[in-house]
Amino acid sequence: MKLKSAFAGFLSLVMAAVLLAGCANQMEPAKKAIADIEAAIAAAGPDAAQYIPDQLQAVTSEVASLKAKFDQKDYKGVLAAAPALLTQAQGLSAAAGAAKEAAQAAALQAMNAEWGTLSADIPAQLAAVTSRVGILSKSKKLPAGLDAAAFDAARTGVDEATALWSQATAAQASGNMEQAVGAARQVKDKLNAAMAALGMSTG
Amino acid sequence: MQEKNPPGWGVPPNATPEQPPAAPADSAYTQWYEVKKGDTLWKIAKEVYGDGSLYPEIFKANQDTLSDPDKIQVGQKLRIP
Repeated sequence: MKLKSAFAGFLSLVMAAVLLAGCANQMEPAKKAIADIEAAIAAAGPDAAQYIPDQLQAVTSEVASLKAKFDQKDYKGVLAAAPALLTQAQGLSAAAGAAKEAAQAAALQAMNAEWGTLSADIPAQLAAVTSRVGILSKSKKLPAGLDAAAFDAARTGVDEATALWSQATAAQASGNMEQAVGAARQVKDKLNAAMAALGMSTG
Repeated sequence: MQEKNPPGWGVPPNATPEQPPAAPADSAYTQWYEVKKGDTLWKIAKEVYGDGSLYPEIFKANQDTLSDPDKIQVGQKLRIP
């Protein structure tokens, strides 16, 4: 009877050892599976955070669950869930790239539309203000409500606007729409300021 | 009703007759002035430029409707370049 009991104890020990060894065998693959998923997330780079934040958040949150399973030594659970999550993580890079491309195309379309509006508007405004500045420069006395300092500032503004407009059209011709629109916006601001200073109505 | 500029401000009598230039292209930024009773181009130039002697600028900009700087009509809309 004593012998039988000792054997049972021994058997329990062996089984526990086998179980532990099995767990230990699964620990390293589980660890590697999580590391692979994290590497795939990192490979998606900052574009993922910028262009597909919800998708990225979903994956990182699942990684957190996977790590919790790992901490609870549920390596089997980690290994069961890891392949699907790895596929999702590996898809982040392509999804971020596509979202970035779509955002850039939309931004370019918006800039083209803004350029269309500005380029249709600015030449006439520039001509009107330039003409007025030219005539006022010949005036022996400035009109009521316009002092010399304000006139000089307006003239400088128009000179700057003229130079900026050249830069804007050159940038547009070379396909740099961001620079073109940026410069054109400055031109518009300067012309509006000059017109206000000179007492001209903006239509 | 016609408003006249002071004598001597019109086109010289011996000036070579020329075809009036085409009207300048108007835009949203073209500045306009509506002639009031008692206005002359000199007076308008004095008001908008501070210097009445610059009235030919207004005349030039309105040659599609003005043939004589001394003859402007109340209610007439003039371009102010």
